[in-house]
Amino acid sequence: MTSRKAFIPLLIGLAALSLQWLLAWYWVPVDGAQGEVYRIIYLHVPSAFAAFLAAAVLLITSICVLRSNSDKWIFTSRATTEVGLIFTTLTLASGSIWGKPTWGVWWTWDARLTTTLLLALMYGGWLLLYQALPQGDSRRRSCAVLGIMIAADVPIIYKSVNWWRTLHQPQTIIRSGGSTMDGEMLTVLLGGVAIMAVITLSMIWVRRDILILENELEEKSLRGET
Amino acid sequence: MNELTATTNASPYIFAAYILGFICIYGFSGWLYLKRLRVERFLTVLNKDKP
Repeated sequence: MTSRKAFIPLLIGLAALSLQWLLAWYWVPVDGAQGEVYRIIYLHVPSAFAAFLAAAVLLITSICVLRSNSDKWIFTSRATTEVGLIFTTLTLASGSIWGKPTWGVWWTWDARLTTTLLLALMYGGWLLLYQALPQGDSRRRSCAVLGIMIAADVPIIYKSVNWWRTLHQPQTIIRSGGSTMDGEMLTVLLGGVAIMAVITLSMIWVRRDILILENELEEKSLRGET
Repeated sequence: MNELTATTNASPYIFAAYILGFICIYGFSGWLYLKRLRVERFLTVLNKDKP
């Protein structure tokens, strides 16, 4: 049986996230251009980075799935996809809420938004594919190929603001010539990204453990031990 | 500050975004914890029943 140790980094991450949100609401200064509403950035950007991190993990696990014949890696892929879907949905929803007071619309078919929506749809599609196919080689291979396609969407999302004329603001954190953000704002934002990375990896770890245990239960029931 | 953001009350938007974030992140973590407890309980019962 796997241990419960995976919950420790998750709990630390969740406690740190509460602190980061408090700093985001009460400590960082107001933005000169957008006013108070810009504070959504401290949720929106870390969520987006978490969705990207999940895609990177999915790429690694998909390659491992293709290289091995066991179901071991597919559980990690599934856990990663679930976590990735949650953070992509949160990115889209928080972006939409931020878009209304700044752009005047909840949604627009902008390149950054559309490619992010595509990421969410592909994460959802991965889970549907996993459920639809029977356990075995066919499922492993199909899911792994889709996992690699999901990861390929991330650089497109990231570069979309440079490649196309978009309503979404250009890169402000990682750009040549340094960030355009104020020091305090940037510190809290980067802290949020790091905390969200810890939470994402812990969630994947915990969910993977649960999937392995559930599979163990299923195998026992198939063998008639229940 | 642009005209649109200057005339908009930001609080409901910030509140809505963070409530959603709270539900997604803390809610999913709580669900993971409960799910883990449930599966562990099943396995414990199963292992106890073994002769």
